[in-house]
Amino acid sequence: MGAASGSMSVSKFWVEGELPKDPRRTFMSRVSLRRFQPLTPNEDVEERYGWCALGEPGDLDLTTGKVFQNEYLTLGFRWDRFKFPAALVNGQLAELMQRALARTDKETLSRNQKAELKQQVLAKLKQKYLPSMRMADMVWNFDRREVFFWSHSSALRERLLACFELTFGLELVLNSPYSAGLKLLPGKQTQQALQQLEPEVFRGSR
Amino acid sequence: MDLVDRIETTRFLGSEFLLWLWFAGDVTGGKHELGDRDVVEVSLESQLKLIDPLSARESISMRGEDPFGSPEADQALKNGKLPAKVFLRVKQGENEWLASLSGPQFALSGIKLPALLNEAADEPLFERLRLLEQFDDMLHELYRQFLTVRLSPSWSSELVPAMKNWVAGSVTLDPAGWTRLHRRPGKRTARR
Repeated sequence: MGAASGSMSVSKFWVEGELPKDPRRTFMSRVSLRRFQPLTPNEDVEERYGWCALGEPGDLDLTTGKVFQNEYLTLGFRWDRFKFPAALVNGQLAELMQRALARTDKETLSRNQKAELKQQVLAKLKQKYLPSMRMADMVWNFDRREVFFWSHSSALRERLLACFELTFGLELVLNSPYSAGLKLLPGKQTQQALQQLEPEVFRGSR
Repeated sequence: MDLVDRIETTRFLGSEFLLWLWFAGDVTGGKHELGDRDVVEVSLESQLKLIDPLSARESISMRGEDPFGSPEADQALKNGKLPAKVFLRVKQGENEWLASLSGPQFALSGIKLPALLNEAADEPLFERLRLLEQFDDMLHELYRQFLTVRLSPSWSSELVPAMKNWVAGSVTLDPAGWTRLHRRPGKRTARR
């Protein structure tokens, strides 16, 4: 479920760094540059990620009206990749290797030959199957300097962090007991005190 | 120590925060004052995961009507386990939020927002975002209260002994004592 409907599972990030004077104007062109580009089977690329419209993985026509709404920047983050089951790849690779060996007198293939055959297998599978797609909504409140991301997947979050930094030149810090503590009780004293805390033992005396 | 290490070595605060909420439920009935007037009611229900802080792989998970009152949960606390994930209900005025909160990750899942105030609105998205931010603010304000007392001398001198007694089976802190311990610094009771 995403930002617009249903129950929500969200990761929260704090945005670190200075916003430009006119974020809407500055960011629109940058968002367009990082717009999601669909994968094609003939490319030598296994995965690609980028921005799409909020809640609409197929909508890559990003206009100012869709991206900037009130104090929010709203986008979908889409990640496509060609991912095939290991058993399928290994099965087809074994077949190709057997055929290659049959054409030569050798008993084994070199590492390079094996890698080349694996590329052939992957290229063939790419023609046959569609890439898998994952998408999650992202909403950035400029006033609060907070981002909500509708996923807890660490793989998806990792790519979001990279894409966000490349697009906006700003860093995202994932909410955690430590980072929330620094935001809520800022100051060097809190930072030092937090670092020195030890886990408490509450075990009863009985 | 870099930021990643600091984040990892202080995740226990998330579990201690959940335990503090659980304890508050037995002391104040889950009522927390946020700011000068706002009162929120927090109740933990239906889902509880407890982990051993020394070995997160050792965990027990419970679902049901009241896992927090179960003998299994009681025994797990006595054995030193701490809550890692709870299902909570937060009420403020007419509004009610439901969600699962993972303490060490500080992650919310399955959030159910209050019924939208304006169902016919053209842009329910903003209403949903406003309610999400309101919920997030309440949880962070509760965490601020917890952290303030956690970093104060009264944590070791008063709160931890009271929580140990509670884990052992008796509630020795009353609501007035709770309020005193969690009063905002600088806020004084008016003299008559």
